[in-house]
Amino acid sequence: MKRRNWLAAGAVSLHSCRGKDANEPEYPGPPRPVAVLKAPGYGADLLDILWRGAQMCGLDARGKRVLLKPNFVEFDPGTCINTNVAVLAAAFELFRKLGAAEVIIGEGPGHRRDTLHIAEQARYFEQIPGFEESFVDLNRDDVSAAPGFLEDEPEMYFPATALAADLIVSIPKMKTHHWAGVTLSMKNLFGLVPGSVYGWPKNPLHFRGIDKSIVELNRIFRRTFAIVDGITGMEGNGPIQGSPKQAGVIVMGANPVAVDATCCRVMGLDPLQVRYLQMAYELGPIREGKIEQRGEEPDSVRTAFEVLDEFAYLRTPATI
Amino acid sequence: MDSALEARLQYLVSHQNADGGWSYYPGRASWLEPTAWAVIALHGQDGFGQAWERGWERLRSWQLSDGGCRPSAVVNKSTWVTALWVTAHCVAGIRDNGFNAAVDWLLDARGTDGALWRRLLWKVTGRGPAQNADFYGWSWFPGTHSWIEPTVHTMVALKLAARGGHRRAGEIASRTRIGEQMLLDRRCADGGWNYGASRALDIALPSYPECTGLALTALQDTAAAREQAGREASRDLPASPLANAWIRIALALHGNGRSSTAVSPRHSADLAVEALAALSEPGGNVPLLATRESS
Repeated sequence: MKRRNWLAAGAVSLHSCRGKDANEPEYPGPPRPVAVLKAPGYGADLLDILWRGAQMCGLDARGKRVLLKPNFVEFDPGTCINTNVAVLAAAFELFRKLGAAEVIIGEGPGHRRDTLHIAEQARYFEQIPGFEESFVDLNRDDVSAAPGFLEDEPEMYFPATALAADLIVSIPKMKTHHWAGVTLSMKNLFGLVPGSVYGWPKNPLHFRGIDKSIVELNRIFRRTFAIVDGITGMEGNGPIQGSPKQAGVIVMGANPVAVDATCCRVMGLDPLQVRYLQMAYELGPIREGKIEQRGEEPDSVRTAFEVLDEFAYLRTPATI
Repeated sequence: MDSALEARLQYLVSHQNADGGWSYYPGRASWLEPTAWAVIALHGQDGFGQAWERGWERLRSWQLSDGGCRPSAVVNKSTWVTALWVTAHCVAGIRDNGFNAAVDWLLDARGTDGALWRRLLWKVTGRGPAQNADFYGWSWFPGTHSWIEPTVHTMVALKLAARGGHRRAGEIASRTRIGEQMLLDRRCADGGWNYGASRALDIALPSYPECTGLALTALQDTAAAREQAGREASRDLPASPLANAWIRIALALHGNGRSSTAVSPRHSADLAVEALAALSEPGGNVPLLATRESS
C-alpha cells in the first residue's frame, strides 16, 4: 500500500470513530428553504427552471445591485470545469426579470491570469448578450479593505464591485474537491479574493486553511443567494482534473450552508462530515430537519459522486 | 519608430490616469503592475518622455518603509510587485537608497516551500508536492509558496540589478541559481511550464503558454531554455493576448523575435497586456530585459 493510501485509510477510520451525532453546536436559527429542481440538460428551458426555483425560495431582487459570481477556473474542452454558460445566461435573464436595478457578472479565476480569454473559451462572450459590458474581472478590480477576516489578518482586501453589491449570487458547478471534499456555493466565494493583491492562486487562503477561509468569506459576504449548476457536475479529482458526472439538477437557496448540505445529499455524500460545513454551524443548517426541501427530495435525485480515497468517509451508507 | 509600436504607446498614453499611473482596465484606480510595464515600455522612446516622467513619479510613490512595494495605493502590504519596481529602476538606470532597500526586500523574501520544517514534513508524510523541495523561489504574497510567475519577475529584477554591479551580487547569484533550479525542476512533461508544479496528486499537469513565456524570460542563460525557445518559435503564437505577449518577449530574448504585430485584447482594453505587447513589438524595449552576460 502506498503511503498516500495509508493516510487515506487512516482518515476514514478516524472519521468513522467520530460518528455523525457528536455533540456539535447546531445552527440556532429557523429552518431555511432550499429548492431542488430537475434539469435534464443544458438545452432545457433553464430560465423557467430558475424562475420556479426563485419562487420556491421567495427570492426578491427588486431594485438590487446584483453580482452574479459563476465559477470559471480554466478551460479544458475535454471536461466541465466551469459553470455552464447556459446556466449563467439564464441567471442573468432571471435577475433582470425579477427587477434587479443592475446585474453584473464577476469572477476572479484562481489559476490563470487571462480572465477574458478563459471567458471567451468557455463561450461566455458568445452566449451572453452584452457580456463584455456586464463583466468585471474581480482579480483586477479596484479594492477596499474589509475588517474582521481571520484573527491573524485583521483586514482583507476585496473587489469594490463585490463590496458594493446588494446581493451576490454564487453560481458554482457541483464538484468534488481534492482538498475540501466538495466545492459548491460557499467555496465559490474564493473568486471574490483579488489576485492582484493575493496572487494566482490566492495562496494566503490555503495557508490560513481552506475550510476556515471558506467559512470566513461567507461570514463577510452574507447577502447571498446560490444557484448550483448540477446538470453536469464533476466527480473524482475535482475541481479541475475530475470527470464529468450527470446529476440533472439545479439547487437554489438563500442560505449557502443549507444549499451546500443539500448538494452533498444529492451527490451521495454526508454533509455532516464535510469539515467546512461543520465549522459554518452559525451561518446555516446542515441537518435535514432544519432544511425545508422544496421541489424534489434530495434522495429522489441522488447520484453518487466518486471521491478521492482521502474523502471516502464522506460517502453515505447508501453509496458506499 | 515602428508604426505598431507607436500606436500601442499612444494608446497607453491616452489611458494614463491623472495621478500618472495606469489601471488594469481604463477608468479604474492605478496599480503598480500595469504602471511598471507601461513605464518600461515607454522608457527612452522618442516623444513619450513626459508620460514616462509622470508614470515614474507615481511608481516611486508605492514603496513602503520595509523596502518593498504595495500593489496599489490602498493596499498596505509589500508583495511580489516589488520585483517589477526594481526592474523598472534597472531599466531607468536609477540605483538609489530606495532601489537598494527594494533589492534587500527581494533577497529577504522566499517561498515558504524552502523552509526546513516544511521540507521535513513533506518527506515524513509523503504529502509534499512532486517537485524537489530543496529548490525554492518567490511567492506572490509574503508567507506563502513559491510560484512560477513571481519567481520569474524576481529573477529578472535581481539579475538586472547584479549586472549593474550590486553590493549583494554574490547573494543575488546564489538565490537566482536556486530559482533557476526551481524553474527547471518544475518543467512539465511537454517541455513548457504550468503556473505552479509539473504534477499534482500524481497527475501530470499541462503547460500554459503564458507561463512558458515567463519561464523562458527568466532562463535566458540556460541551454535547456534556449532549446525550448527554439521549439516554441516553430509553433503558432497563442491566441490569448497575455500569452502571446509573453511568448513574443521570450522569443525575442532568445534571438527568435517575430516581425509580426502582437495580438491585441479582443474585448475590454487590458492595459497591462497592452504594455507587454508594446514591449514585444519590433523596436520595443524587450532588449532592456536581457539578463545574459553577453547581451
